[in-house]
Amino acid sequence: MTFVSFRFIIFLSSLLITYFLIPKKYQWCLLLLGSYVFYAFASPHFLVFLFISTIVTYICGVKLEKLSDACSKRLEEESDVLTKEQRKELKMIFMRKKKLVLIICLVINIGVLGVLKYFNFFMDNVSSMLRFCGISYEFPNISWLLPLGISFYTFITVGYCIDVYREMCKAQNNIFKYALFVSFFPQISQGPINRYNEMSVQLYEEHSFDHIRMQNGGYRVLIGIFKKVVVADRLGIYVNRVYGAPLDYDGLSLLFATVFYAVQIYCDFSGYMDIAIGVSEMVGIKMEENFNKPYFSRSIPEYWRRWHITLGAWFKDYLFYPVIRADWCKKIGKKYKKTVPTIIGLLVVWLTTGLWHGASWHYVIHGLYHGTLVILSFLFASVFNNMKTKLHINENAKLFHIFQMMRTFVLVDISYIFFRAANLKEATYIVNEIIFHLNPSKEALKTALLPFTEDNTAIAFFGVAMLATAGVFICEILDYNHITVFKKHKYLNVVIMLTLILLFGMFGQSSFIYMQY
Amino acid sequence: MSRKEIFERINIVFRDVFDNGDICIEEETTAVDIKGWDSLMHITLMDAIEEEFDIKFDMKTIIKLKNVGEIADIIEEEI
Repeated sequence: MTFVSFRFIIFLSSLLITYFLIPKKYQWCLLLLGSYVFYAFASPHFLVFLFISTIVTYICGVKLEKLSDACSKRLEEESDVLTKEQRKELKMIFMRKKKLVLIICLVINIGVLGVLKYFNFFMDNVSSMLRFCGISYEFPNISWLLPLGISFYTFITVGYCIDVYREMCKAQNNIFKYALFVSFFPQISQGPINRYNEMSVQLYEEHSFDHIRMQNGGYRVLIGIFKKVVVADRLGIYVNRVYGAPLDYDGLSLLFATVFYAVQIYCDFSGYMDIAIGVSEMVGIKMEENFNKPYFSRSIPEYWRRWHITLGAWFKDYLFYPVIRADWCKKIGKKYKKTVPTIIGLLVVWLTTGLWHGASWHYVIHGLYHGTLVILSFLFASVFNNMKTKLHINENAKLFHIFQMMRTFVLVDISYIFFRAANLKEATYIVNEIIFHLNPSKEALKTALLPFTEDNTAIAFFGVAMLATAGVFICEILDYNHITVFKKHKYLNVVIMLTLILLFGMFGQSSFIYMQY
Repeated sequence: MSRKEIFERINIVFRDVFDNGDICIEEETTAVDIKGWDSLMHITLMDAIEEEFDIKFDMKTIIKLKNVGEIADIIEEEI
């Protein structure tokens, strides 16, 4: 069951009616039941992995909390007796115990994710290395499907345990309440990667029916559906055709497909987020925003603060900071240069970001490409600033902003070639064709539009796609400039949006791109 | 060490890390007020303050810090 399906409409309507009719103290129980029903419909065989992750992190969370409490109790009881050094020593003893619990938790959770997602990739690479050494042995691939949302809920549960370890939140003692935090249906399949601190109170408190909240949530859902079925799925037809057999297409078609893919993936993923956040708002729970107009970013680092925000924040707090604060990394910094730990941290984060998206080298290249750009921006920030001063560039000029935005979009779009292509070989072919075999003649342009429908309706199809895309980005431009025209006429907007969805929506293509991650 | 002295020393660290001699920090100064104070510079800043005052921030402090006043509070506690 995905968000854009008739089954989901029935599911959500039944859940909402029941949610506001039952006694409020049982609302969270209904959400838990609903979340498991939602997951079971989508991925029944993989409930077992969700159970494992929930139970393991629940137990670890409770154990970590007990150790923190025991430490505080000892320190309080013996406050008059202990010297400063002894207090430090006592804290260290408990810290070591907590670290052991956390490591067990990480090994199990990341281990399950690692085996399910990366086993075949790892074995393929071992086989390639053996072949390189002259040993011909093929490890058999194990054919299994990846459990729905495993990359997302693993990060949610692991993040929770690290937060309890760092004493940034209290552990949840009720396993059912904790299970709701992990499985909450709007977030389970594609995020956002929520934090326990932000979600816990909202998930378990009582919620009254609020028509403003329902209206806002419903409107947000409609925006999401529009982005998904009118823009993303329409452009997706073109992208899938061209990227499905890139060798059959010329440079111009490949360029179109690459630009369309940037719009498709944004409307697909942010459309999903709009639906998820809207549905969550309807039940009174405010989730973290995951997008903030990423294609208006003026630099790559800014782009990553606006795109998949919760994933970036997760990597920052749970991977980047621990790596560059580690003693070994600091030692390297002292030995060589202060910037070295930051570069190591960034490389680790971007390599992991690439691998998080999928077990394939083209995802690794995509991650490292962005990592390299972020590192270059970091290392040469002062050089760029000096250049701007010497060239008398007004940083606040609108034209300069537009140039920076376009430059960032082009850099991001190049990375999408590696992200979307089936493998590295096809990706390099596409780059080569776009750079060296671009032939923007009138005839080529006509042919380049054909992949939309493969007949003479392609131009009309293209027109609708472009108008819908323009609609999405005009709204974003207005919002970026803090102009609130559309919010004043919400009912009219709902009618227009519904009409457009029904007229131009591409129904039947219900899966979202990020579901596979 | 008085709070004023702590602030003066923190201010020197800020100017050094952000390479900006015009920075004048206050209790309520946050990342929004200083150009370039992002997650990369945040960790560099924390390292520099640790070195300056010979203290060590835990991860909870690094992530949750809201403003310069809170940095000064922790330094006052630690030294």
